[in-house]
Amino acid sequence: MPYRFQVNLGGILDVLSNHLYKSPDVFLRELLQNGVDAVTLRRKGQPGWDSGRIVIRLEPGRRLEFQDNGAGLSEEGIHRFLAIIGQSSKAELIDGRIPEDYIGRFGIGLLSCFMVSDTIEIHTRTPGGPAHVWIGRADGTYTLEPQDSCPEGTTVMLTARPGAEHYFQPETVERLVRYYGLALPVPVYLEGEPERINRIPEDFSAVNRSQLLSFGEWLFGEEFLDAIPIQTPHISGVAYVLPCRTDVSVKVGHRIYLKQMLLTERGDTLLPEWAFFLRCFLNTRSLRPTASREDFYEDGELAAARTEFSQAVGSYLAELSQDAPERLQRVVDIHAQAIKAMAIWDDSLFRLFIDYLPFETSEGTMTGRALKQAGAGAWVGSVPKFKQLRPLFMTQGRLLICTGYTSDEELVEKLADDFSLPLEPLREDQLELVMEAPAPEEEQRAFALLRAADRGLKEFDCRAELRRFLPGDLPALYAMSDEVGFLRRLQSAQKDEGGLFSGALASLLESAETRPLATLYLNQNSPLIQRLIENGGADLLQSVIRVLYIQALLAGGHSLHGGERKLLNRELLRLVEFAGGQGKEKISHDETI
Amino acid sequence: MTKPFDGEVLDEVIQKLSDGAPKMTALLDAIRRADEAGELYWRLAFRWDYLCQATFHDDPSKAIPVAAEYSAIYEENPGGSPMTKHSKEAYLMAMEMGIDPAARLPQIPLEQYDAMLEKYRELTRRYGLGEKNYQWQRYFRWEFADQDQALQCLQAAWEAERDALSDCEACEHVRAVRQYLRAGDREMAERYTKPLVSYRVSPCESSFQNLWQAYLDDAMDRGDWEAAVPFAEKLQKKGNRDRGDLSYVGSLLRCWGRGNTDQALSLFSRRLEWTFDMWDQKWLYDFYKGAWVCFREAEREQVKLRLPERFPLYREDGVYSAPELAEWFYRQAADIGGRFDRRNGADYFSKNLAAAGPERM
Repeated sequence: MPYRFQVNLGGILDVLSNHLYKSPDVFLRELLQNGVDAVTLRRKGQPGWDSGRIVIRLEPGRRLEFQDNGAGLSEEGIHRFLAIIGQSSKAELIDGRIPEDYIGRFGIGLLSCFMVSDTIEIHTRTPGGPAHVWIGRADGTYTLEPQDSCPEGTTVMLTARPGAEHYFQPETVERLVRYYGLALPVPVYLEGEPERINRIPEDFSAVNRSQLLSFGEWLFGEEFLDAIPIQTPHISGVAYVLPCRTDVSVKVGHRIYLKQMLLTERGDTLLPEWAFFLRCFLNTRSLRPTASREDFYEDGELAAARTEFSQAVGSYLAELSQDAPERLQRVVDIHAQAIKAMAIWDDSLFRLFIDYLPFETSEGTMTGRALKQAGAGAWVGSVPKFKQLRPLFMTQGRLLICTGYTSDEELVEKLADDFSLPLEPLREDQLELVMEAPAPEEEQRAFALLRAADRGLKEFDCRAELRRFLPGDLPALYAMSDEVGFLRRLQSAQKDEGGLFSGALASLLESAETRPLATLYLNQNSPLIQRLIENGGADLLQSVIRVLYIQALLAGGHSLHGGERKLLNRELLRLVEFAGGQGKEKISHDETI
Repeated sequence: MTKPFDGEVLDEVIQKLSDGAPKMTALLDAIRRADEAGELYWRLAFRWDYLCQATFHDDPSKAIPVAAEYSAIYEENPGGSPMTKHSKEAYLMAMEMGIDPAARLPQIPLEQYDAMLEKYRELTRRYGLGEKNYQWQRYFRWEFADQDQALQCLQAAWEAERDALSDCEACEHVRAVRQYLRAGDREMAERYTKPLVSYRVSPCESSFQNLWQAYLDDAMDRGDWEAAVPFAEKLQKKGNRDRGDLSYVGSLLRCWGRGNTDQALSLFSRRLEWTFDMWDQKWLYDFYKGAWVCFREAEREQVKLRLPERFPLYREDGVYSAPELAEWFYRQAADIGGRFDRRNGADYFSKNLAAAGPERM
């Protein structure tokens, strides 16, 4: 035998107020939604009727009457829709979905009024039909009585609960109507005020730029850099370009409406990630809201809307590049980061913007246009490495591009691919690009130095190579691949840690099949290295090489292991002793430490 | 004169860098400087950021040595930094980021893995936090070793109470979806999917990506091409920006390899580089498996590809034999899968590789 669930209205209200809705002020959104739907329903039943309106009456701080002149409810409708939680009165479903011109869908919105009022009193009458008064209470009971007369449509009457008085003040109500219902197609009036509260431009694509900017300033209280009208099958409105640089994490502050009723201020779901430099006023139509009506459901329609938005912004900016390039440059100057992120996503935007976008290089900041004409070059995806290598490239007149900043690597790679430019990524093990190999006889002459260096550096998984490079006052350059870097970290961590990870660190080190070596490049252009080559048999060769190794490590921004720190101390002391003429006899260059 | 250490300024600069390798290189430099300056807060803070970068944007295995360093510093300074960010919660999370990769590194024997988990549990008891996450760690331990045990751990994780340490709730849902799909229980999978797609639990930036991948893998394992493609398209649109996204490139390769050779080859050429020096063996396995399907199903005998010189089969002329590449990638995948199965005493990977065989997809 089937049983029916008993619903605890108090519990439902707790769910609504504490879990589903962010704030009690949504009660006004729900009233607006019901009012507009009632007007829409009447308009459908009475073609040609176009006098829909909503009027709000207030006894400040005490009582609110919300009156629409829409379809009203019959007695049967009242029982069906006001008394059954979850039943939406939005007329017939089409293909199991509520038709587009209705806003509501869950049939629970009216209950949100209990968050501000202990009773909900409704006077309602269908056009030409009898009037009824329905009174619902928070304890789950309701009464229904016939009434002699009331205006056509529905009036909802609420009495402020203790603590909810401020929701019944004219300024609060006006603010909330603007906030939630600014774009509604039905005029909303505060009784006694001749001006409707919710007036906005009818068609944004037909409004000129300065009017759009004024509207944006009025709506958001901000003077924007530019206004991009958006008119697509799923969305309409304006995307405003923020007047100052903003962070990617700033995603709030939009006004996004569903069927002209505010749905959310957050743009994460509808707007692409790169849109953080825009503040949008948008109305959407055929998207599905989530149960809380505070976001959109992830589906194909949403994906299409997102694409349309991107295309609309892209087209506008493309037009701008033709009609007002100086305005575009201003936008790029302020929002380069966002535009770079956008250009990765969209090929046409990439082609549009790449000439304007700035990149850090060994020759200063260069735009994409300059890079196209710069000839061969390399890019490096790490800012510290770029800073280390920049002097080398500068002095040799070679181009090095820093792609360590967000989006730059993908853009430079794409630039190289799309325009067949001779730009390549630079790996540390390809440093030979900026280094000249010595002639065989030169290498022969440096044999003793290189042998001493290899022996001295072996315990640090490093080998030495002789190269010529600029600047000449740089005696040595340390280079290691990421793999060597990681292994160094593993070794170091294993030595210092005796706890949770010691076994795992040992296993990882053991599993490294071959031990890749780092390289210490000795600069043949350096007078110091030249002297060391000439004095190949000198006793202190290994000590000097080891100190150079430590110096190159530090210059490259690498941390020193405990062993390397000890080594530095020992070798420096040895050099000092030598300079003081005290240890000469004890040291030979083959000695290992 | 050397500028004095200023962690905040350094941090501000680092935040502007791209996630993944650029940020991590800068963070290593910042860690060195903080160590030299002896600034406890920044020694922990930069290590914490590095751990997050390695875990979410690069190779999670790189978190292990840095988690070890974090542990040593924290244990030397009980209570961590006076600033709340680097409290016991951060310490426990840092330890988790160090332990997580062990599930995907077959070179770490199970005894060592279990010992790590046991020590982690001691920490959770010491601080009265993290029981739920410990249960999740146990789930990872069994995920590829024993499906029944994995399911039991998953249920234990769900039953444990959430606390300040608990993971992203949406990602926990995705784990359940993936596990139930593996077990063939679509109804349960759907039950955990619903709260996500209706936003009853808030997704993090990876939740949907992981969800789509779970359904994509499931559809491909069942040989249901039509169901697979929409998920692959969503994943493709999500883009792949850093090496952390290698986690799903293999699934995409496998899908596009079946019916969209050009797209598969383009993705393969662009992302092969990410596999070099990648320690995460599960991601490598998935990539190699996807590449195997991609070259096995390629409509032509020879393919022209611009591949990095480091690729062992690199050819100067860029012309490769598809069957030869397929064979090579199959061997790599089988080798890694074999190591996993030997370590875990299981046959999960051998079955998984067989499910991508020619008779399926």
